Amino acid sequence: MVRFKNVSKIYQGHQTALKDINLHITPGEFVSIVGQSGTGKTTMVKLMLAEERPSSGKIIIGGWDIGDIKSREIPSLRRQIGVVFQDFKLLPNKTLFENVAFALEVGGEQQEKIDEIVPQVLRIVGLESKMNRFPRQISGGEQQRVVVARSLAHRPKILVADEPTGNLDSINSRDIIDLLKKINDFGTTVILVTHNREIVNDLTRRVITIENGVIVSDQARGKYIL
Amino acid sequence: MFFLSLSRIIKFSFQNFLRNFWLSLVTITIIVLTLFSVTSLIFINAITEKAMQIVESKVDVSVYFKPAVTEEQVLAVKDELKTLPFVKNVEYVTKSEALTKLREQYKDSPLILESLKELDNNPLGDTLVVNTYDTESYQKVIDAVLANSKFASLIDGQSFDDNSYIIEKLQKITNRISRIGWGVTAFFAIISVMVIVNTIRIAIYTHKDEIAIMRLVGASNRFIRGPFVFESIIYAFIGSLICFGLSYLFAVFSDPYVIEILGQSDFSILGYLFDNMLYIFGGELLGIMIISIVATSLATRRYLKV
Repeated sequence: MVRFKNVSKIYQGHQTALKDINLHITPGEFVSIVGQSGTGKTTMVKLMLAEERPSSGKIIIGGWDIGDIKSREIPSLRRQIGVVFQDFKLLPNKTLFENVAFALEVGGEQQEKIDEIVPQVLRIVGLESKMNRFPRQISGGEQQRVVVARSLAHRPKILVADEPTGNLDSINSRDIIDLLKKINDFGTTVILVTHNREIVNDLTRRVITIENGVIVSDQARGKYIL
Repeated sequence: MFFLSLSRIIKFSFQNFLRNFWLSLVTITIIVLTLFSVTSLIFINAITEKAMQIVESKVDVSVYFKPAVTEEQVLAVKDELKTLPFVKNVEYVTKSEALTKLREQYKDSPLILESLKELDNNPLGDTLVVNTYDTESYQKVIDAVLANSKFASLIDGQSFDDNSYIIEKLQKITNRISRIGWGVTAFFAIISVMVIVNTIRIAIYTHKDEIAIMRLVGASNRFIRGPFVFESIIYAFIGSLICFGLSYLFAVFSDPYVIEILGQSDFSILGYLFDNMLYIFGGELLGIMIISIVATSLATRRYLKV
């Protein structure tokens, strides 16, 4: 599903973000990638979304080789991966319904299908009743749930969540993690990038720890060790 | 798939337009102001050119004949002049008409009237007053008369030399004013292009986070750029339409003043506006659309780099 083979990423100015990363994530796994700020976690996410290209090594996601992917193929790749970010990233001038629908519209989904799927995913995150509101009219926790709903809309095989609880209080954080677990139970591979010790320890799933751009630990039922 | 995408692009552009109402309003206002300033200059150029035409038409070449020349001889010259392609009109003023005119002109100068009475015969000769299509042809009239030795002997001295100096001077002024007018218009048009390009760039800049989000959820570049480009077409269309409305009002309100300046003539701004509607607004709409589309495409491209 996701494979990193000897991947290194060196930014301009010779700053090494990742060094010789090897990992394999199988379908249906729930993996937490942990590490302190600036250790290369977000670079890994960017590489998976083809926002960045590896300096060396190979990244295989689904059938795509990220190092060789053509620009016109990137939108298709991104439609296969659900993404949840710390800073919500909702379109401010679209309602919650339209935000979720947008992810389907860009892929050319028929309107009838959109009208069917969007209320469903908003129901999963508990926001069906607020679907005609704009992002500014709901709380931060709710906004993050909309992002989760949007990431689920096109039924992705992989969901990448980069610090999804970073801007949320503990109750909302718990809700989001519960949602991610629920999504994983449906069979979606979940990659959670976080530095929240409590969440990682409660999950008791696979934990990959990164330090200074290098994987220092990969445990099947791990804990936050830093 | 293509029509589905196109319909969504159009839907999103109208949505953006209405939901970013203030930004849309500011952008349209700037388009209207710049277009209107260019249109106003076009009007001013047209008025100036018309005024010059009127002044030019008032200047003519008078061919003065010797008193002894007969009417048949004058009419022969008149017929000859009328065959010239650059001659618009030739008016025959007889010596008695010329004397009446002179008396009328100097009715308040008893000295001149007294002197005329002293003379037994009419001292004036017949005159042909020649109008041409443009001032540059006045010299050609003079040359044509003098080139014919049969006619040259009938002409009384250097009667048209003074006029040729005035005509030359007027011609220079007309050309210069026209050049300055169109130069200022072109300068304003360039400023307008710069202002519009920057306004659109700022409008796109305010959407840069949205563009990033659209990319992340898998929107293709064409799908992201489409609504912005179409929105800029809406701006251009509405801006041109409002500019036309303003220009119409401008024409209606300023026509009485223009007629006052130009006197009784067949020219009015409203008439000029309708005669040149396609040329002025078609050109402006096309220009503004091309500018908007290019500016939008360039501005979005900056944020669409993967």
